[in-house]
Amino acid sequence: MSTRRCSRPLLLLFLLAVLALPATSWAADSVAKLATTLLRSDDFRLRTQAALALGASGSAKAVKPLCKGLDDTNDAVRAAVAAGLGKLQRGGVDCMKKRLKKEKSRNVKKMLSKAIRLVKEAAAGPRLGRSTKVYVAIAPPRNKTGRSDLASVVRAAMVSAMSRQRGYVVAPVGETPQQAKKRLRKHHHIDAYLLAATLHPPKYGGNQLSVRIEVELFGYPDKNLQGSVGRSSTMPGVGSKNKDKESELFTAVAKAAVAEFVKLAAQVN
Amino acid sequence: MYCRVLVRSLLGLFTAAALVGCAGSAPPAEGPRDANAGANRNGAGMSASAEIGGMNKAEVAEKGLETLDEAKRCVDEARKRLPYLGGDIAIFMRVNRQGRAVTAYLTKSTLGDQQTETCIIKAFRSKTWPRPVGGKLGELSQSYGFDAPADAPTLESWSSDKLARAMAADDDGSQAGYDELVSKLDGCRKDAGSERIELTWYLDEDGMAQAVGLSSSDDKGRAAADCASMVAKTTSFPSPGPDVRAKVTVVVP
Repeated sequence: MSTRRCSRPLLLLFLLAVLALPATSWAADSVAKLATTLLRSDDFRLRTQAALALGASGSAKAVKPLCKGLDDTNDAVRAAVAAGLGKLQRGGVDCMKKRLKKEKSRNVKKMLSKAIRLVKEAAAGPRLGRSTKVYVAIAPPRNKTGRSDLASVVRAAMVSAMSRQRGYVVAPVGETPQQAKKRLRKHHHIDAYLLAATLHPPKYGGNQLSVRIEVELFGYPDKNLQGSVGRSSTMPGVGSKNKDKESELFTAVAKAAVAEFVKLAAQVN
Repeated sequence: MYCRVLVRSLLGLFTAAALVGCAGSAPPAEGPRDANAGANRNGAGMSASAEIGGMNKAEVAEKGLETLDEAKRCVDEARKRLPYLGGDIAIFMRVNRQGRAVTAYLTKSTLGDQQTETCIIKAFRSKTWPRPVGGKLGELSQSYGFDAPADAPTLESWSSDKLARAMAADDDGSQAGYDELVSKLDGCRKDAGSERIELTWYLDEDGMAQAVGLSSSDDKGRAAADCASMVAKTTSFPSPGPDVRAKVTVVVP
């Protein structure tokens, strides 16, 4: 009983700490801490929560500690690890298959089988279904800014904003037209688009920063031009070159451009 | 409509004595009672020192509506994670002479998300409620319904029986998986010291529990929420079907 009394506040603190973390900082800052908790904590509840949180981290770095967690002596922890890998969908098939061969718990076996299937399906590309309305490929942006890193910043912002839209599925990077056709073949109700953004050089003047993104909208995978969306924005109080502010403003404009596209797509539908 | 609101008071009888503090056309207050009076709330024998006082229904309703905006924000925030989130809640509160909540818990919740429930309870707790009339404490219970957005994916509703059947069908007819689940959930309930808990969770198309919510017959039940959430999220459930999600409700015991 004394162990339980001691560990409950710890569990609560851990949960509060996990819930209080901003989602964006999870992957960068917390994976290592969660991994340590999963692999070293004496309390199985903390290990279970850590496994679930690693699964929700979205970080490929979580795969390795999760695979190690499959050797945990507690069934609930192993089930959580399998659930985590199934949610993460960034790998771990081999370690799960290895564990499956010697796993005794019925529930853990089921969870492992399910997670293996989910990871394999994810590797094969996004899943489309009845609730999918729009399938969007996002091309690497044409970058005229002179800063090579901005292309990935903008693309990541667009993917993130698009993935939050209900009924939207983003195509995997490098998908060929043949693969897209094959994926969309059985889903005639889905509209598919390719978005190609152009990033214009940031401008400074009048103590403010201005950026502009133009997004061309094509049918997909046939790539017939359907229209374009242009978004500009200014940030006051930025008198001289500031890379962080540029990234921040380009991210905001990219998200606004996606919102504009979603409105257009809704009108088309 | 986005939100259905029902405001109820626990104390059944209105008495003239309770109106002493409510002049003119003020709305009626619920009558005070002794905490030991049990279910027989006939107002007889009440005194100024009654443990449980009355509550002014209209003031409670007004404060409830005010708090509802915050509760809606909790739900809206949750829908960023769970677009199909919806359900009914009933919150029970006991407030002291300062109008501060000394007890607040959900006696019903089909929201299916602990995080949202905690946010709503916090919103209700943070308010100053009407002071009880003629007693040290006042009790109130309010019910709200949050309809899932019209364009949200449809959810199948699964009762305990349906879940048991689905799990058995997925396990060569064996009830062992379901029995194990209920046993673990009951362990969570016992650890928390609660008499009864009701759990609701969302199953995705892969049969994975997405979020788990809880209501209880007493104020101890909330302590079972983390444990029950872990149990549901580490249990492999059968898939509700391709592109189909389910909302499961299980009462323990």
